[in-house]
Amino acid sequence: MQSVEVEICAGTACHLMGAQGLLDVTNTLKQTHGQRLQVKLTHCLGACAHGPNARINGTLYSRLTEEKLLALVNELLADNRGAR
Amino acid sequence: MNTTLSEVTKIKRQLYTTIARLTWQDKLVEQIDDVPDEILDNNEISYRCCEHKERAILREKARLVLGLAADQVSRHASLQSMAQQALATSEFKRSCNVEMLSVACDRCPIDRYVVTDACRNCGAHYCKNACPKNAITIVNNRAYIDRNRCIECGRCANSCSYHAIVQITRPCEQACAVGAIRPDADGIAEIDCNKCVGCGACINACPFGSIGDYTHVIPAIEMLKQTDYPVYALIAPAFVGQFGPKVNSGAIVTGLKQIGFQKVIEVAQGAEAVAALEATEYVERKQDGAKVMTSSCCPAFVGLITKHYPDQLGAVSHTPSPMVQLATAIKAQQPEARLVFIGPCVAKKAEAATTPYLDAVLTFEEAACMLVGKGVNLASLAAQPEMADAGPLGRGFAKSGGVTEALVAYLPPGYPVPTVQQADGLQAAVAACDDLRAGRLDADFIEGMACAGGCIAGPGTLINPKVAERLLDRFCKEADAMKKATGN
Repeated sequence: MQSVEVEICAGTACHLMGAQGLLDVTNTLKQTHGQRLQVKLTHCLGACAHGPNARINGTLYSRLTEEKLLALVNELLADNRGAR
Repeated sequence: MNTTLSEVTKIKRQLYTTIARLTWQDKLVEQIDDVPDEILDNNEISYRCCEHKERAILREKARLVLGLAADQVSRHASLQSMAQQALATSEFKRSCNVEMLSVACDRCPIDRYVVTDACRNCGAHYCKNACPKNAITIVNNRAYIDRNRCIECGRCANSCSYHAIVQITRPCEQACAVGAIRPDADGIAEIDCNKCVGCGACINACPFGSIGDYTHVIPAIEMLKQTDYPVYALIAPAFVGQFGPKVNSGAIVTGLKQIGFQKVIEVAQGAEAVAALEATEYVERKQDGAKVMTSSCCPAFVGLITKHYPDQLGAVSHTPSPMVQLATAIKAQQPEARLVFIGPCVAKKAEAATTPYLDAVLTFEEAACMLVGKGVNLASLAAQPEMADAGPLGRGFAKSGGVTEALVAYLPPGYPVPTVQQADGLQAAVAACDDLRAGRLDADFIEGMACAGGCIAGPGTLINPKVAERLLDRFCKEADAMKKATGN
């Protein structure tokens, strides 16, 4: 079973643009998905002018909102379930 | 609490960061006219009427960042000329620090009770019967409230079985516990500076972001750029955790030094001195027969008494606030140093205008935008040891109850513990002051905090106050452990 890895940038620019909210929704999602969802904080994803940023399974997403992040992660979790 | 940031807050922070960046780069005058368009291009702003209006609003918000009041600039001044003005002025500290941007005010409805489409023109007409002033009639199959008769008692709303009558209060007015916000003749909200205590609660309450405070960002950056004198950061006890989950106090010191501060000092140090002075003062006042003493550390609470209960000013402790206490002590040693307070507070900007010892005041939000504008990322700094300037009692000033705890700790051994009225939030403070004036307050000490929860819930903070409280408690414990380890 594949897992989804979400790395949320906690750099100062992303913190100012709402990284904490991204972390909170992802952690809430983790309560239902457990080990299949890995959540990490990272120092910088190199796109400070376009925060808040997160990397999901290696792909960088900028100007994220909580809804966008949830949609992306949920889609991946659903895909993986199908592949299983 | 919801940690989701509103678009209004995000745009404000982009504006602060962009203006800070241009100031650092000495390109403010040259490029500031392009800033509103840059921000419009970068955001999916849902326009209220058109792009032109949003641009006009951004221009006004940029003026606040520049620290200029509406009456200081001509109506059609370009941002470029305002930037020149801001860079040239040395008078940026102001006693009235919050401004309503009239161009941005959406003129929310001011009728307090409104009949909605849910009204079914029922047979009972409970609303009509409940109204003590006969203000309700049935017009076009619906209840109608005659504004000239309505006394806004709310009985109609409470009586309707369909909840068809709703109470609407303007968010800004609702947030203001001292009644300083009122609509003008055109329905645009206005702030009465004679009543405003500068707490800043309305700033975050307005869903349109129409209220803001003047910043000291430009003069602070200009101070940090030069080398003629040292600039010190005095960081308020509420700072713990404010700059993100991967940033400890040591990293904040390193980051602030990277943008030009020579020293970073915990204001908790001043708070500790304040607690000792205030305890002595309390004992003396009690000896002289005084009934009540209030704290004096929160400038908006002191403003409340000054502006709304001037007859009770005698009860306010004469001990200076921790900010002023620390600044005075530093300037006595080093008069050449420039001092910049960094905290959660909007009212501190007005307090700074009352003392020559403070050179600028920034919120955590503004300081973070200045760091980002200079390209400093606190999260990527190497691990740093925690700050160790202050003990747990001083650090505890940042949350409600902390001032009392420190005061009690500094009372002489065996001294009777005072009965304390916690005025937690401006509304509670108003109630406590009413009781004080009426002589029915059953307390020896009022701890006044304009923000409910204390400074950690201030308008210039960056994290959820509950999280901030947890982190602050831990930071206080560390100070305690350190104290025990070093044996003093």
